[in-house]
Amino acid sequence: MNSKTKKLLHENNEFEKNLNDMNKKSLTDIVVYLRGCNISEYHQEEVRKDIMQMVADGEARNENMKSVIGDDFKQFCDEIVNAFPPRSKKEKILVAFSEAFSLSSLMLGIWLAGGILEAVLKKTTFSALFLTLGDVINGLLIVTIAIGIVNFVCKTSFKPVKKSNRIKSFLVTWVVLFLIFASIFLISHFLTFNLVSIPTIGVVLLIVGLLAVSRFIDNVMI
Amino acid sequence: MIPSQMLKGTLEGSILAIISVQDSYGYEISRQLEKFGFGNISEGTIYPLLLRLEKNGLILATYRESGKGPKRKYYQLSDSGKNELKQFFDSFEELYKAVHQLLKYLGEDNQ
Repeated sequence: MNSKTKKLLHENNEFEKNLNDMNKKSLTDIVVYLRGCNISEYHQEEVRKDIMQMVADGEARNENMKSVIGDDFKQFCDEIVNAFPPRSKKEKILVAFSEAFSLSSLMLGIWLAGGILEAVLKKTTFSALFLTLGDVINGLLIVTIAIGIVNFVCKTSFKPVKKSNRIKSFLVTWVVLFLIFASIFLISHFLTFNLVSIPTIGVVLLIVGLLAVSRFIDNVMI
Repeated sequence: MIPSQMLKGTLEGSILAIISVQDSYGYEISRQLEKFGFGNISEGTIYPLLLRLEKNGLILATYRESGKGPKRKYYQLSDSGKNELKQFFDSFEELYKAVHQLLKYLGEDNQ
């Protein structure tokens, strides 16, 4: 996230505290839905700021969010997203690269921290990061699952949770979690073939480099 | 009450017309539309239209102080917005004439 977006995000977070609890909850649903839409983080915050202004004005007139925005929040959000010009092919590629670089640096950070922690616990020295085939596959698996969960949460933010479905959802969640962890364990246990080794300084430089490129693209994409 | 499908085609032009008179913000625009007989149109309906007009360069947005909360977003017409508004009036006049002719013809036919 670039500094301009961070600043706006901070301002919005501060302002949101002034809204009443009911409006805060509805606003959270809207923001979560927008997070999963195909508009930049800066535009998400820009829209959030405008909506909060509308809602605050509504509060001052003793109007609730439904009378300010309308009954269908999802349709409201979809119309907002459609108001933005669609991203060009070049922009889509740049966004994909930015996200890939950002996620890669995160995974490298986790592997580096894990390697250092392991070295400390075993009282050995950590000179290079060794990645097995299992590590790489698990990394991709974790990132894919994380993206899937985030998209699911964003797309269903307006769907009310039915009480009758709670037990079913609980059981399904636990079975899915068990399968995921079992897969991760089996992959790391059996696929121990050493794929690459990177010196520690190389890993650090790689993380910094990937983050810098990702940040640069984010700044260009505003 | 004007059906929403019928409103859709004219709302953007009508918003441009309101902004052409005076710089305005979402709630004020919705009240103005109500005053002119468009019915109760929520800010939630107006905002995506304003956003589209802004992104297409037809209106310009500036933040100004408001009594409560972050600065309020005021909109003003850009030069392209002025041209778009003229085109809207021309097209609407054409449509109005066509519908008027049709109604006149139906009236004569009924007599």
